Amino acid sequence: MALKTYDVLIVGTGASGGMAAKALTEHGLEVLLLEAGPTIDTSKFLTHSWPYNFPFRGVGSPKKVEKDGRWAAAERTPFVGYYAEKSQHPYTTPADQPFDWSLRSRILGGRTLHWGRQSFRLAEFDFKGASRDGYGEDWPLTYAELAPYYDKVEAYIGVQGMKEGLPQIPDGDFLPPFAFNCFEHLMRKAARKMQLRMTALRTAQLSRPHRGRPACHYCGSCGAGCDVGAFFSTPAVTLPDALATGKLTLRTDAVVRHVVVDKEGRPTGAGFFDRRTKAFEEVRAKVVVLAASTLESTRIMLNSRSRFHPNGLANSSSVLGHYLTDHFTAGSVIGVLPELRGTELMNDDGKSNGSYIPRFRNLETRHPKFIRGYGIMVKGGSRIYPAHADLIGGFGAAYKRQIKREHPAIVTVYARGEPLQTDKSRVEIDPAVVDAWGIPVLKIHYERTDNDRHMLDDAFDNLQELMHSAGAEVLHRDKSLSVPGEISHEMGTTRMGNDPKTSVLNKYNQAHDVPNLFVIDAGCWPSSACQNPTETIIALAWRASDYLAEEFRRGKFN
Amino acid sequence: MNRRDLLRTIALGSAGLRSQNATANPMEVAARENLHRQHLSPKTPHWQPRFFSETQNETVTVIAELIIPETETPGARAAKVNEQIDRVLHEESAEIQQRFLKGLEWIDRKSREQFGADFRKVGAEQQTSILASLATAGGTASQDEIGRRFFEDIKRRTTFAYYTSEIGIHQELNYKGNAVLSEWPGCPHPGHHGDSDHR
Repeated sequence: MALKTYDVLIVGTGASGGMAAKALTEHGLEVLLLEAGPTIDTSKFLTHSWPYNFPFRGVGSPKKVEKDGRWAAAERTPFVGYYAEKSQHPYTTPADQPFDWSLRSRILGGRTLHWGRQSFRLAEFDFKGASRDGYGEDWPLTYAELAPYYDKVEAYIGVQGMKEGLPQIPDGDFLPPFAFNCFEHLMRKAARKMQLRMTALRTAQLSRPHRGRPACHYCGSCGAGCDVGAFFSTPAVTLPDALATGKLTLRTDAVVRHVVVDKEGRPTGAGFFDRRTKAFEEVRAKVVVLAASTLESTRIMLNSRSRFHPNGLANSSSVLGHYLTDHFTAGSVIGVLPELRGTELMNDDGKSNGSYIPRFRNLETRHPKFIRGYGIMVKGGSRIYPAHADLIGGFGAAYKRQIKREHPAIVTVYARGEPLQTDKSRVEIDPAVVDAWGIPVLKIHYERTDNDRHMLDDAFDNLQELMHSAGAEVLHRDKSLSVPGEISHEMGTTRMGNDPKTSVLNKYNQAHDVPNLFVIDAGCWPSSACQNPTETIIALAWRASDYLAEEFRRGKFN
Repeated sequence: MNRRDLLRTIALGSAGLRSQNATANPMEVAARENLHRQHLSPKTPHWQPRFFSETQNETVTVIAELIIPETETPGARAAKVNEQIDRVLHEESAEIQQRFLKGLEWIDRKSREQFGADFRKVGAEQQTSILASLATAGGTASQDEIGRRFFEDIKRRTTFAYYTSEIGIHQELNYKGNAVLSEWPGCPHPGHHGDSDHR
């Protein structure tokens, strides 16, 4: 029986794949959407559960943590692939280069089910880093080219936030911001004393009903999945739209191994294993769109070696797999705000949001020790678990009372920095290790740069000064950089650029070497900025989809 | 390929979200009901330790209550912290299990040396003085690494088990979150707002 040839095959259902599915089907194209993990029934989410509802109080048994990692072991999200199980999805690193790739997903909706929801635009200058400070590459597109898509994305997904008029986080048309908690008012004053602006984190979390979705009900359990779709996710937002067109075919449990090419080396579809039966199948399409997440898309391309593409698909530049980054945490300080000590406990974590001091380094002036910059996250107040207890000495009634007294008064500040892309941070196929379906896995190399370390020095000083400015009593200081991968913002490895010799994709996320291949996740980023990436990922995916549909209409893929 | 393999439909709860009337917000009602349904604790009527012996269980119960005692609110014993510690340790690696049991042996030996009986059998004041010698902050650091590390370990396990229990969350902390609200109230204290132009 002849295989059906779809117009477009999309691999992956996270932020970018879901967006492309909506945009392309609404352009009238017949789309096949493949997801490596199972489907998800969001009515089964345990959103409003309590720790004591679970045998291991939500964290999972030590045996399960050991086997599948601490994220996958979590009892509030007992869904296969909600977090990728270590035992099923291995990867390797050099012994001296740890990379924590545990916060990834293999399930319908991918990481949109539990993402941090932060939605910031990149600044105009973020697209022109190399022109400003001479390091790396500029983006092949400008802020002005992407701005209409930022507008569309914010209007579509719904982003609450405050307009600030700051060039480092361009404003959009936001839903009303969530009100500040007590500690946020105090920290905003403390920041102002340092001539810094603190704003509410902009998040894709509805403060008002929006496009048929209900507003947030402030249960504070976003990580367990939103049972009403009040924050942006593929199952709540893009997938229903795509399905409503009647043009979408969704196939879950399809673990893609490689892109299939024809006699001329042109992609014609993909080969995958059924997740449960492990049977191998092929599907066909005129255009292949990889949206499997930065490293998984790259892995598929590296595993798509053929005589036409001996280094992996679309890799004549040999850049594929290179220039990997992950945002990093540059120090943290935990303290107690004396004004709030011993006050009545408020519902502080219901909005599940915090505040943000946008980047202030290397704007008008240049720092002598490092380029680029970092933002500061401000979180605090009483959380369901009083984590500060572990920072308090002693025991007995005094210990118990101190935990309670300080619970409303806790504030945590940490910096989030821009990592520089280097050729040394890269992935390759590890031929010695395969996953549960026999597919060769990635070996991930990640090297920190001196710029990261100099940024840590400066950020840590400013975190301490911020706490001092707030009059906070410091409980804990940590001057360290997070383990690479831990922040789960993988970027690069299929970077975009104007020169096919130094980049994999063009400015429309289209492979230079094979025009009917698009890669639309964060792999395309030629520099990382310090803002959370998802809103930009969605904007780029929408823009690439519009371009793809127009090229399709013009007969480029026949 | 079998056409049926390419399913057009999925069992997707939230796909129906769009048709819901957002102003009536039935989801909020559902969320509230869900909240009630889940506000249940697993019951353990005839609990038996799986990892500890009866004696070890008794010692752990005593130590946990010394770490988080009954005050105006119930303490670790009432919150059945010992049951939770037993459940977790049962699943830990052999190395961690052995380290914990060695710690229990150590503390009994220490008690016999100082006060002539096992830890669980000596007076509260004597028990407190042994723990105080192990607490690194707010007390005198002990030279004995086994005992000090054991105390750190059991303190962390006790604290986690207590503050994730119904008693810890609702009675002791009087935690206000995990509620269903129609609007985020924010800080109600004008004194905190200062010159801030944000609500």
